[in-house]
Amino acid sequence: MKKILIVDDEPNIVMSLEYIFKKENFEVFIARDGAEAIEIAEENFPDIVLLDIMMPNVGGYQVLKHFKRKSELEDIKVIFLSAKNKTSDIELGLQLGADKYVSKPFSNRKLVNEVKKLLTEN
Amino acid sequence: MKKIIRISKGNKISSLADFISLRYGNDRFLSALVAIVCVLAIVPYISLQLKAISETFNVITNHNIVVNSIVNDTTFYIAILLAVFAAFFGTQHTDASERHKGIITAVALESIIKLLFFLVIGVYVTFYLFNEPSDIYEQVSVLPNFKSQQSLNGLEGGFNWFMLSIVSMIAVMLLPRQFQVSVVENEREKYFKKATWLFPLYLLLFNVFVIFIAWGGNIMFQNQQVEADLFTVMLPLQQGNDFLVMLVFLGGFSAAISMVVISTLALSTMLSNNLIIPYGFLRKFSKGESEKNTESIKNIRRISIFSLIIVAYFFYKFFTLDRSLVSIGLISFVIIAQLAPSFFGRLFWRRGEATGARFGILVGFLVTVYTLVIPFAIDSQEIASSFVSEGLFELNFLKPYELFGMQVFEPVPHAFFWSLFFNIGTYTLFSVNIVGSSRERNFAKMFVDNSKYASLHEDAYVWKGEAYVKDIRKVLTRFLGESRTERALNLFNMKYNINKKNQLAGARLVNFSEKLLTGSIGSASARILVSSVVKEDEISLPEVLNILDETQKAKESNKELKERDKQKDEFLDTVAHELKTPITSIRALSEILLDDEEIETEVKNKFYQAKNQTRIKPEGSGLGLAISKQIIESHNGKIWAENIKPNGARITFTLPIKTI
Repeated sequence: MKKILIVDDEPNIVMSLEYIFKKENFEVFIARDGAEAIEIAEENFPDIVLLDIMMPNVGGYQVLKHFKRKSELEDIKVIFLSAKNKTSDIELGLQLGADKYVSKPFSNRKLVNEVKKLLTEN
Repeated sequence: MKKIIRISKGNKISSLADFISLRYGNDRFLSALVAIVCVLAIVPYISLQLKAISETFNVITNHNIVVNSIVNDTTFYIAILLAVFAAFFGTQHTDASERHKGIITAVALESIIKLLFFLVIGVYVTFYLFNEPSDIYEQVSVLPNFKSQQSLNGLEGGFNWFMLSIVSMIAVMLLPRQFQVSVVENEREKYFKKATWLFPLYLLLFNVFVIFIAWGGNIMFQNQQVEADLFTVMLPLQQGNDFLVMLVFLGGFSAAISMVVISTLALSTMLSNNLIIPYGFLRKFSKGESEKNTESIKNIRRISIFSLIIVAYFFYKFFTLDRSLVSIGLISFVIIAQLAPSFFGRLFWRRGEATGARFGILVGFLVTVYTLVIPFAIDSQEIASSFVSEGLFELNFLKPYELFGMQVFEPVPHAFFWSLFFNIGTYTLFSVNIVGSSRERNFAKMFVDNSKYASLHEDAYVWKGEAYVKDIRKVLTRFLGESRTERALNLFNMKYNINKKNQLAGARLVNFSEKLLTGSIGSASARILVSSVVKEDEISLPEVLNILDETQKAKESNKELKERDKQKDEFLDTVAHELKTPITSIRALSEILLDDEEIETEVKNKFYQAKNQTRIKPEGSGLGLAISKQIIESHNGKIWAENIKPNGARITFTLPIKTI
């Protein structure tokens, strides 16, 4: 069973994503902001993280940077989920080491497909 | 020193007078004054060289008779020969800022020969006449006046020695020929680096044997009246070594020649560019043909070189007969040192001002004349006068050698002290009290902050006014000739990407042509000529500052724009975030509800409720508040919320009436 960590400060988004990925047989972890996300990741080592960028306190960029600095976390797949959808934002996200950049609003099915695709790549 | 070279190259400076006057707004009077001071200082110096030649010549030919008629005097012919030589080799080009490679090579060669000969004579005296250095020392240390000659004579002597060192240091930089070689003839800045170690090494090599020769001379000529200047000749002569005598004579002869040539070259440039042309010939030149002009400029220089040497000869003839070489040299040094305050002040002090420089030099020069030149002349002519011993009008505190009762110094350091004291005082006083012209201030800024403007010679000059390219071209053609003008203008247009058909000349072109002319006729004349075709508006200080700071401002506003851009991006991001978040939730939830038919009722209800929650509860998205916060903060305001019991909230914000 693959582990997925969903990070977003909007409860309704978290709720729907949790429902979808549970249905797809994922073990789902939830974080409401960046700090929580790091804490959970360091405890549970998820296979993939769906990461919002604009969150209170610790934002998505910082979480990703933290992952890339720690050797035990750096292999975790990261998909940015963000309302920022300018080309420069997407480039910046990928440059920081994200595996995928999905802009909001997203299609549930497409998101699930992207996650599965990323996890089967290796 | 590097600063000096850089400025000189950038502005096509060809002489000391140009250099000084350029900083003070091309002041015509100042440059003429500097030229005159230089001439007055250097002519005795040249005559000194003539004296050196003729003296050694007389010594080796045993001609100890003083010749009274010019026709029989060998020195006269030597002077004429030198004059002709210098006049023709020094004036190949009209652009005086061009380098005279041939002459410099000759001087370099001469310096090496001189050193070689001197070393030979040194070795000869030390190891041949005496056994080794320690032998000389033993012999000399038993001489009666040895102790007093080798030490500094206590505090007073120390002061004197210190003052002499300062005079010489200034002279090394400011003697016209030194300036000529180190700045005008300098091809690249980096050569100066090399010179900074090579030149002292050269001098050190020279000095290795000076002391032994001096001691040796003192031993050999204990009881005879022999001037120390002549030791190098007298020592081998006494031993009957003709070959060495010849060697020494040739070495000294070539040294004197090279010094005379370079000095007169530098002086003639100054005379013609800073004195004769601006005051006498300018009007004539601006009407004449270009070839004629070039020819007359050359002729003026030739005549000035020629007459300089001849004047020096007569000076030698009537004044310097029985004075040691060194003392006349020192008088020249003190006179030259009068240029130091305005020279260095201009480099490091922005307030330095033309009137101050003029009067400083004048006053310093007059003091020198009073304390040194007049008493010296009286002494050498053996005129009976109470001037030296009693002072002017028999006032004790005006005694030329002990001005205001100062008795510490010997005449030369004394004169140096007082002249510079008054010179610097006058310079500072005037500079502080007078505000210079706008042009002067521009140059001051450029000179003092030279590194900042190194890359923008033509731009560094602030100018406002109008001129036509046609007029400027006409002026240039008159002095440079058709082809050179054409070439220079083409280069200029290419460099700054300027359309050839432009009728109006920009500030850069005006400045550029002024510099081109400076090389030929000196900065003062160039300034007058160019301004005759340029209608220039006086620029006020705020305007100057504005133009100079324009680039800085452009940079700043650019930075500000970027900052604004970033703010705008952040704002849009927030709006997008706040708008998209609820949409994302709605879309995600509705997709689940629509697509998933097996969804449990319980969950279904929860989702429906969630949807309602978002819509009903105002804090659900926070859209309004976040956007309001962004708007108010970007207008430098503040917004905050307070909890009002039992179940309300108060939103307050402030906005400044004026933007800060």
